[in-house]
Amino acid sequence: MSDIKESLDAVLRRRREHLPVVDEQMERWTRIRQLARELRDATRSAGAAGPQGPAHAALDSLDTEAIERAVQDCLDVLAGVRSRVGRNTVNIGVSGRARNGKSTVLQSLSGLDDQQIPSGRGQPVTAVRSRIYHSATDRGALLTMHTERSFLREVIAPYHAELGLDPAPGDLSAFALYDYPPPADAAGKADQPRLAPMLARVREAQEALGTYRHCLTGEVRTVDLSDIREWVAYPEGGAAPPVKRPYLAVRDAAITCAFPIDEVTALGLVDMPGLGELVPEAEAHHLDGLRNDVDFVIVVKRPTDTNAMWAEEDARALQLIASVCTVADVRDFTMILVNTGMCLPENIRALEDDLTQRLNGNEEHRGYWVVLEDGADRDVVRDRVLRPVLEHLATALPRMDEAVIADAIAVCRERTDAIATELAAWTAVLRTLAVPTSAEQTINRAERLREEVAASLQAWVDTLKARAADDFDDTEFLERVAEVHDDVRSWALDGFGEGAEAWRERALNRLRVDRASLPFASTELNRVRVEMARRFAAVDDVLTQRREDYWAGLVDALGSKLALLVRDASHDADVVRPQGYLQALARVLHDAYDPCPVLAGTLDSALDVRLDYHTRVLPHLRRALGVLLPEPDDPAGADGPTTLLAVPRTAEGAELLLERITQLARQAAYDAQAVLAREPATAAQALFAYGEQFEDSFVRSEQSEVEFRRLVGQFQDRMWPSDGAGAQAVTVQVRRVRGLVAELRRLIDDVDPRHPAAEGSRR
Amino acid sequence: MTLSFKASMVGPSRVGKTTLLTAVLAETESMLAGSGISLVLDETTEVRVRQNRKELRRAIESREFDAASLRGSQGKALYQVSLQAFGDSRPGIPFSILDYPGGWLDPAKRAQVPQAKESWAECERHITESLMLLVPVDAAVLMEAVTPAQRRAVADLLGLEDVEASARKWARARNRPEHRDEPAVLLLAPLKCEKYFDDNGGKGREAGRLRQLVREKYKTIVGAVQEEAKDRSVRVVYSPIDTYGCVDLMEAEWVEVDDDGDRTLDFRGHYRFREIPPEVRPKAAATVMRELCRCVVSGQDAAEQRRADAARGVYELALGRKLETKGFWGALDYYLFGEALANRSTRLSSQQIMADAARHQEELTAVLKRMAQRPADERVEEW
Repeated sequence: MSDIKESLDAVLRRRREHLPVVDEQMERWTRIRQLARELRDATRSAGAAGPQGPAHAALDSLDTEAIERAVQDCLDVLAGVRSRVGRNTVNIGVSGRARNGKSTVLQSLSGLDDQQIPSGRGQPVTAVRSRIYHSATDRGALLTMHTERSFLREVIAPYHAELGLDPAPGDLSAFALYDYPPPADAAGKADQPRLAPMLARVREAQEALGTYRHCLTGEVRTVDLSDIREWVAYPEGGAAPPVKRPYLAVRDAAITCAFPIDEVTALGLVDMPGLGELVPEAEAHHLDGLRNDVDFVIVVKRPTDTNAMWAEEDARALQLIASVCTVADVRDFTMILVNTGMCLPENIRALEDDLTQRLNGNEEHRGYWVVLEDGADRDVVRDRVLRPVLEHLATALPRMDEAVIADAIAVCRERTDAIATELAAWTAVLRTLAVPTSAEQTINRAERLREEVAASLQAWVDTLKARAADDFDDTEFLERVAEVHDDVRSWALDGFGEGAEAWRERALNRLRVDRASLPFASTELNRVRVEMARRFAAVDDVLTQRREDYWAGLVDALGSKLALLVRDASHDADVVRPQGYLQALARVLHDAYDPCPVLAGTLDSALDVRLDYHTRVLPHLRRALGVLLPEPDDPAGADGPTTLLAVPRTAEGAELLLERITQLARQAAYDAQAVLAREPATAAQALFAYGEQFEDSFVRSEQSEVEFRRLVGQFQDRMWPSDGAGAQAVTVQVRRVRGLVAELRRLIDDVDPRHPAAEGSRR
Repeated sequence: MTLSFKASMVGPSRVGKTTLLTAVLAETESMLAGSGISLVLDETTEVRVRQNRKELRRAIESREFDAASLRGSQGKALYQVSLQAFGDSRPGIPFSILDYPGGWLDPAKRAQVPQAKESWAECERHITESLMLLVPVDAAVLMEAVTPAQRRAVADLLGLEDVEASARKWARARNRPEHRDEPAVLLLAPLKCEKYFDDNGGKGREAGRLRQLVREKYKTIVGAVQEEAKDRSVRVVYSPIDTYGCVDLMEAEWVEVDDDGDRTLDFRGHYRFREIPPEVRPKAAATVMRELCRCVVSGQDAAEQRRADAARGVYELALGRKLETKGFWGALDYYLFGEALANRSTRLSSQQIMADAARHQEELTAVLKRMAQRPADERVEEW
């Protein structure tokens, strides 16, 4: 069993690795959905604005809902994957029509008894869909209660729909006063056998409202397992009115207890209200549960005198399972447990034959997995049902997970292609729309914007210049360098992290083993050199911060007007950061209908600033660490280092060696910090140069004036949003639609390298 | 009495003046080999050099080299030396080099030390009469100052203001008419340069940066010298020196100190030996000696020229007297009262002096020629 546990744990670990990628994709598609909705609204607004003209006809031809539907498909399929990979347990659903022993099987699997999972005879007893999780230490139940609204929407409204009654009551008072017909009124109708009990149920709910109304709070309450029964089961017959029905207030129940299988930790059982129960929309719930919550389903079927054949309802239940299990083989996903307890052998045999011949068509190895066992015998259920299922899942789950992910990828790709094609067609349509505006106003605005940007960029470059001056004290950087240097120095003085005494002892042992000091000394010098280079990398955070500050300063300098161009993406976590903002702005300029390549390219260059430790500092630092090389490049030319490392193979020799290697390490650390201490000035000069270059290219390049005009011409609606009223409304709205289409195209084209496709293919 | 030529050092305390002098005077034979000249140290100088060497040896025998353990000069010290050309039986050309505590350069500190107050006038006179002004520079202070605060402390640590004041006085004196025919050499000598060069057992490749920093920091001083010596030329020689040759700067500390109410940074270098056993191997120190000798030889040449000129004047005067028309009675007086004899004697001795000076000058020219033929250290530049 421990092998199964390891395998299942590995499956769950692998699933969790997918989670960040799936979340990222969902976030992306959620953003796309939002843009698609904005596009729909913008298209409608444009259609309603101003006098009718060719623009209106063109805009009317755009089917925004098709895109919304495609996006929703992607989100649905990703939500399924998210639900699957986000779970911390392997979940087994137990399904079956009422009175087939589903609750008995659940009891056997979970170790709970009649008090927690009632398994009465005659009437169905399970009132609430519950999940049961294994925990060796915890025992209890968490009940999520309905709110009044969810109770009316999810419990009462489906009865009204099924019974063909008026729309469901809008509040509890209306429900309490609703005049339901007596059950006898259903007589005569075609489906009277189904509707009459339903009518009875809803009336019971109405009559008992006072017993559970106070519980409709939406809260999560903890209940001891000894008190759980009334919350999850129908009351036993014969109770005096008013019958208490608190289960009606329960939306979801999560029970935790120790399963009788010790070795499995991450296991959950999902009690799935089956078909044939007199609860409206049971099938819909059933489907939802299958789709998202379970990895495997055990369908329980009890062959009694009246139930010894594979009935149409049973076949329909299996079809339902097959319908949600489109990407995996349904046989990997399902087991039919023929619950033989207290059943006559002839009935058992009859059902078995029926299953063999009618369901599996005599295909012994390709048919459904059928097991005949007594669901009430806990040992049998554990050893012959649960254990084989877990063994099966250990090998089948990775395969099923891959299939689910591959399906999601395929769906997303197919929808992505469809959306891209649609957007390309729209772009072509929108290009044909002439949207006149005042050229003079555009030119004036462009000129003013350019002047404003030039002034603020100049002020920003002046601050960079001040920082690049010889006497500028970058205290923060120098303090960080001193801190790292102190750390490295202390490490060296402390016997390179292991204590001087331990180092000397180890050295002496090696000197004696090697009968020489140079091999050990060389090894140590190499180790020290590598470790020091690693430790000095700690200054990278300050270098990164300098670059962030540079970008932040640039973002400020670019001013508020240009910020409006990336306003739509401003909720995006990436765009909140200066780097993300500049990237977004560059994309807007690149992807514009009339692109501004010089301005965008200048932003791209500003984003290409490299100040990191490995690019800038390490090459110089390596030279500083050269003193720790055991041998000079030309050993014949200089024997200095070697003479330092040749010591007697005695305790005193070990001490001398430590002293000399420490001296070399101190020198290397000192030289390295000197290299780093020069870095603020160098970095500041580099940033000043980058800043000047940016200012020149952005404001004074040959194309700058033209591109500023082009920019203002296209994005006036965003930069001067008050233009949205009056005669220019259509133009503004068309521009807005164009902007949204461009933004959507960018998002759709933005192929993320960490797309699930790549992940899926790697695993 | 033969006048002694002079040389002086101008630099702050702890820069390594005494160590440099020891390095220069302790190895004169090897440094001057092939030049045709030798140096003879007077007894006191020899004892002093020997004592300094002993201290240096002691410092080298410890595990970690501590330059601060070398005692600097505690008072004014004149290192008396004479320069002797091979084959010349005459007494050597004497010259003296002045060493004194670097702190004396600072008038404020000088005022607090009675000995300094007493001796400074004499030191200053020595400085102004020197043919060569040697300016030692602590290379580590220049090169290791990387932060703005450290860079701000450099000028004070190198005593640039005091050095400039002394250099200006020296140049002004060199510009006086009576000294214009004498050599004048300003030698900028960065010391303890081991870490920055790779031509003496080290791995440094920062010779260019050192040169640039010295040029930058001493630009004002060189400018002041050229401004004061506007009627003559002054040779400016740059000679970065490895004072020890067997140590590397391991770490430097910049310690905040209170300098009479001013918070400033002091520099402390910590050195380690490059090799075991360490062998003192100065580099480019011979330049100091060569420049010194060139100055002395050129100074002596100028002195010989002055002697010859003086003798020629006397000779020509005497000859003129002899040849002038004296008349009967005049001639009678000239010959009878012994003037003719004295005149002859004067002319002969003048001729002798002129011949001596010419021969001596020839010898000195030969010495200078030999010295010029010896290749200078590659580090050395004339600016």
